Amino acid sequence: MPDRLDQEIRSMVVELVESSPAPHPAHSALRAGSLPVRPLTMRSGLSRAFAAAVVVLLVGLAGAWIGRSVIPLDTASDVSIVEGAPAPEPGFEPFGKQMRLLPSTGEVQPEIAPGTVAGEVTAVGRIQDTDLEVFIWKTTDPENGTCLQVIGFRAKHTTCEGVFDSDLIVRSPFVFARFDETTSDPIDVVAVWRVPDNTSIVQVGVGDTVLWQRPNSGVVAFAFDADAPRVILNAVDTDSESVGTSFFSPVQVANPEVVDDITLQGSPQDLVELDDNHPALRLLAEGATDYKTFAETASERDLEAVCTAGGGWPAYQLCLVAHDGVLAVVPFDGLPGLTARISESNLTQDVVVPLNRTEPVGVLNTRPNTSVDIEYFGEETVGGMSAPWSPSQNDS
Amino acid sequence: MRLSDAEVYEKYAGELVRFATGLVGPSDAPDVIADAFVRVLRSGSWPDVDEQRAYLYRAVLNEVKMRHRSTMRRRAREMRAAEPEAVYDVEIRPEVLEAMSVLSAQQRAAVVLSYWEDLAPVEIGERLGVSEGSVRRHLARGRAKLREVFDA
Repeated sequence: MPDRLDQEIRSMVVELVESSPAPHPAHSALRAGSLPVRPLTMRSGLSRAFAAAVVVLLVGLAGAWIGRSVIPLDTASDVSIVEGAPAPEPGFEPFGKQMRLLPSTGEVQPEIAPGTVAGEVTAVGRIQDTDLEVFIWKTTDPENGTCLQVIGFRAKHTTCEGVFDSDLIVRSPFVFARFDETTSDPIDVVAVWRVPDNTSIVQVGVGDTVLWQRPNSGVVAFAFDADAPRVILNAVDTDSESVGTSFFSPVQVANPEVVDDITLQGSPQDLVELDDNHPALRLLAEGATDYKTFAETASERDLEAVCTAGGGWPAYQLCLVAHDGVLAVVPFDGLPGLTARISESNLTQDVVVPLNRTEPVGVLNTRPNTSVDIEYFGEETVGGMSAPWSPSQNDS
Repeated sequence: MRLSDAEVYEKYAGELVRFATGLVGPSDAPDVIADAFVRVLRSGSWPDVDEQRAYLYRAVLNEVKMRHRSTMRRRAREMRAAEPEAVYDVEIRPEVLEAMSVLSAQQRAAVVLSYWEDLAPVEIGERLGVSEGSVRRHLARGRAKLREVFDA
């Protein structure tokens, strides 16, 4: 039986929807969207023609100036996979493919990250069949770091060696979903990786099996089917030693809700102290101090756990482990203001966990169907679990 | 046989305008639908879409998300500042627009489809291309926010 709140909401929705006007006639709607259609007089037509000519002239001059001063940037050897990359071998085919790096269109310029002193841009490229542009530049900071940036629709990722001073960051690929501009449905999941310098071979594994490998170095790019299972990217040196490994789940990257559906025995009530025997603390004590190791170890032990990371801004790396009615929220990285909001799926009680801290937080649960969102400053959810949306791209 | 673009518009524009009215209010809904249709028809993937109705609903929601979130709030302010009957020919109280403006686009979509069309969460999820759990979460959040508004 509906309660008073339901009745009030229904009444409000009915009032709102019943105020609906008629749609625009098809002939005008399909021709011009919402652009107003006005009759064109001879005078206004001539004025528009003159204005258009001026604009064309100015654009041409501007293009020539920009082209003279900026283009071409060096399509340097660091963008090593160019035309001629071999076709994928059997086995990799159903899950994805290697993407060639082609010369840049020159239409996009790198966006220098705040706090990064930009030096020489040493390489640019465009990822085949996408709008993604890749840039590499050397910073002029004392550590002489190198930055890699990928820019495209809803994608802007930057990482710099030396600046972050972290092997985990430097040697991890950018992994993000590409979305249909019309519906925001996921198209595929792209991984762009500037592999360590001593790499000679790059391997792709799906599940636990290496299905594909090629001599590669520099920047490599792959596109994976949005339904692909867990993927492992591995960089191997000339001695067959691994020099960098990364794994991710395209299903989770492309469908953030999938990981939201972790079902916990409990309902969020309060923040609580974690018992020393909670598996989250045990994993940390055993050295699983980055979120990837943590996730792998939890998976090996069949723990009810999920890990996620958003590589954009704000960035976050987070694992959740449910055990004995207590959910442990284990942040590995996060910016001030980033919060995890734990809520029941069917009612109202929320617990907000600040992630600008390093120690795990326990949340007491008593009912099932708990879900987790990552939010920024209490605004829209920035991560279903993986979408690296900046606030300006977000629904806010 | 596949419908022409105009036939698709004629078939779905009415229900989509009602859906969009729940998301952005009556004043902007027809423009949202027109813009969403134009975007859909220009999309390279549209000819291969099987579930056209669900695709269009998602396109409308996406169009709303790309517009400014405060549209409803702004409309409510405009209605308070002006003589309503002089500006709008529809009867909608500014309080209703203000209440809905506290919800995110996804929450509004879930609330409208639940309370107007009486769809179950799983059906809403199919319509919007999200999981049932996600719909339940949006509904729960939406209800919680509206409770605060009504209790204020």
